[in-house]
Amino acid sequence: MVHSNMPRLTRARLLGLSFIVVLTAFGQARAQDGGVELTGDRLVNSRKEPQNWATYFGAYDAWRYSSLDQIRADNVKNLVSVWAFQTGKVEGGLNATPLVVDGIMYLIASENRVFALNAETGERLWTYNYKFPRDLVTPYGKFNRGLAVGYGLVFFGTMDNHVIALNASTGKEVWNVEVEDVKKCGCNINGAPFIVKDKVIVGGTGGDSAHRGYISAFNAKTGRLAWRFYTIPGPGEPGHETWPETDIWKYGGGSTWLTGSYDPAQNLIFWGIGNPSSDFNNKIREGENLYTNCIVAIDADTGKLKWYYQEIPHDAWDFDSAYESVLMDVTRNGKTEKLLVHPNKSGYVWVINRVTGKFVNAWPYIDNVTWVKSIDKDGKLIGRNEPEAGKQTLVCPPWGGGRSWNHSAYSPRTGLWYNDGIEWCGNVSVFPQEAREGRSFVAGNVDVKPPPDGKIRAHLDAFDPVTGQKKWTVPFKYPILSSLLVTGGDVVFTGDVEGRFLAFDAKTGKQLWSFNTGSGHRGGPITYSVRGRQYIAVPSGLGSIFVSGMPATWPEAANFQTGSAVFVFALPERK
Amino acid sequence: MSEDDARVSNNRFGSDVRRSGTFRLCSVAVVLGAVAGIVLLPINQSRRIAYAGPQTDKLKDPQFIAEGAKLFAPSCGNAYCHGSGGVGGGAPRLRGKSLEAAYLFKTISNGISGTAMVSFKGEFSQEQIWKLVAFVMSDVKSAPDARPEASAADKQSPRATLESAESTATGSIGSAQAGRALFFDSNQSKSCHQCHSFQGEGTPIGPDLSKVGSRSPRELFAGIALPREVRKDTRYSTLKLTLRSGDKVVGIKTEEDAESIRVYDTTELPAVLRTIQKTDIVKLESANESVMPKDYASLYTMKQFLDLVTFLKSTDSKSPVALKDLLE
Repeated sequence: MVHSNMPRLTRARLLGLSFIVVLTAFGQARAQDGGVELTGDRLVNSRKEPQNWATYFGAYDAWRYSSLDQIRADNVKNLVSVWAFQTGKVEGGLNATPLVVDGIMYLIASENRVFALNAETGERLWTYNYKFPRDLVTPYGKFNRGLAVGYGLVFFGTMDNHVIALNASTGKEVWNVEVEDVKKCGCNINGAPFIVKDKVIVGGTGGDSAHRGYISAFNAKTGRLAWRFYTIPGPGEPGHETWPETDIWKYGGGSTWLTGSYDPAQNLIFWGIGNPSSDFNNKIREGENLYTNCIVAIDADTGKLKWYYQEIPHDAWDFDSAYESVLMDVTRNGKTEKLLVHPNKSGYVWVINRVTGKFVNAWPYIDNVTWVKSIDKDGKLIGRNEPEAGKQTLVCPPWGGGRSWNHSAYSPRTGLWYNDGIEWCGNVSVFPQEAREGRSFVAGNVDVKPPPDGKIRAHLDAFDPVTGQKKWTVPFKYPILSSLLVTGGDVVFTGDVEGRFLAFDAKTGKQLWSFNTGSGHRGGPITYSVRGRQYIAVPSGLGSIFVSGMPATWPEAANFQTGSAVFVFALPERK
Repeated sequence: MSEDDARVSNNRFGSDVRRSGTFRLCSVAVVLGAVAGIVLLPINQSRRIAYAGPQTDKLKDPQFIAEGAKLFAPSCGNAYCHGSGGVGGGAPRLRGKSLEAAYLFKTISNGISGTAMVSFKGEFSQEQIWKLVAFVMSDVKSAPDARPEASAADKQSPRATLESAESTATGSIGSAQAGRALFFDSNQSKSCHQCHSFQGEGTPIGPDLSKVGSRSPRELFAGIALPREVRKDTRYSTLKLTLRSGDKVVGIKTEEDAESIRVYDTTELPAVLRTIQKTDIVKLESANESVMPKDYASLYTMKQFLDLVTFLKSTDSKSPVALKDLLE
């Protein structure tokens, strides 16, 4: 089927453009119809297509980096707004990272509304509105972090725990599978799926409910389940002995609520596994509680475990290991190491050899860390400061994390890893709870307190990703809740909770430009190009569980307005 | 508060009346008010209290409030939900909002559709819900050091709480509770709920199994273990499709329009609702056999079959099914 908007686009191109350009534009727009299909093979080589932002993290390595360099540190101040798109509903804000493939932007907003837009003009090509049941209970909110595109289809998870594939040309549903009954499991999907080879890989929430987590792989074309990796081993499986001899393993959490990375050379998917539950009462689950708080490496074809590394055994602080796994090859002392750099909610970054799964280093990305005294050279936690029932325990950082889930960025040009951090603590109370399938299973609460060294505050930093040596830092009043983007033009982009979209010099941290979009930033900025012009796109719209909790710490945040729009910028067109 | 809300709450008081005569007078007054068409708006304090029902006098009782605080902390007071004492969580702030007692009672009992607020009436007694109401309406901050009565949860095996005496019965009779757990077992890919519903729960792709309680144990057993004996239900149109891509789909048709057919593809579970363009179909046949998995005989033990059949018959009979019942 030919793209319905094609003729209009093509006619526009004909004016004053060469025949070659027309053919190229036509070929690109036809790609979703089978012309140059976006396949698993093409996604493996996505670094060779910097004009696209084809996967959630921009590429399988989770760098959130693009080599595009038309917009540079020395000209970013000239950026102008090109277009904006309003999604029309602001509840839940806009948490997503848009994708751009061959000149078309795909965007998912709260309540699983999906849009295809002309990436040059913002013209809406189609809209998909998800029909959800009226009696729906949405255990982890109505927001969504992103989608996947490939094989002429657009994939996303829903607030009531379905995975859906749409025809990328028409926005019509092609397949729809209910992964697990949301009313039973207290879980749903708000992370972005990603495509590896012929499969769509999907995680889910549920780590603070009585639920057993898993990663599912569906055949991209048919929706049939290809494999499922349970994050808690069942009876008879290796690792089951790290749970007590009760039924708690069925309710022990280990959610997979964000998106994994992929190493094609090893055919391994890396995924950060969430906290065990009940979150704060670890007495109910004596043992290491595998594979919660682990990085797992699983075979992309079979879903079988290759290796795991557990960062925090027997967690008592709700410190997920769910954040991004950044894959980088680093040369030190004449030796190149294949590493996985993994920021944890606990304020530490773990550096792991991604071939062997062995510990390389762990270093703190924030100043105030008291849940553990130190981590030794073998990765062992020294001096655990565990909360206990019947008293209050001051823990830094609190469960909100040394940062939230919004992602870091890595530039191979500067060799620096860019990340944000929050200096804060919390008094933890433990309230033992019994597991009830699918129900909240947190068993504690945290009241936010200032850190020992001063006021609650935040910062944006550039680090050596292996040693943790800090290269520059920029102070912020409030946590940064937008993902970061770094480009071949050596610019770091991010946004603040009050609405300012900001550009920094990747080498020095100097602020170069800002634009107020009118609502705080909670999604992922991206960059792409169409017909040789580089664009920067940023979702604007404050909202999420973290944001709802902010007024307790920052009362004025109750008045930070929400929104749901994408803003797109570029350098002025040469006349 | 809308009239609708008032009616729901009144019904709830109505059921209180049946259970406990003590509250009858007050409840009758409320019901009369509703019948007379009086919408009970927060006009004045006395009416508000009258509306708050049987526990009115206790809503300000410090002991009652303190017990509510203890209940609140673990179930409502974590930061993913309403935060300490109802402030500072991911869910709406509860304090300083002059929320109505009856509204709170109804909301805690029934939850709110379209949000993360689930129903708590299965978790708490009405008395306990009133304690929560009292705490939320009070200005008592929170109970950070509260140890709820159920602090034995520390080391207690959840298995012990899930299994009743019934399910530990010897293998020769079934347990409805164990059967229910099997029916809804989320760790088993071929668990019944993947394709069947029971009293509104589960996935209604195939027949609703809360309506088969009158069938004989033998018939139910054969229907699971010997899928050839599955009744042909004409409401479920089973199709075999061959697609241009070479893909073969066996499943249950749900809808059809001029351009496409919607089919539950049951090749792998969970079933996939596929919208297939008619132009992509090379061959379309109707399949005479059920799409039910054929290997339950090797998946379940005899005890598990007894449990399942006892559960399926529970809408009709409370007596457990015995081994001989499956064979007669």
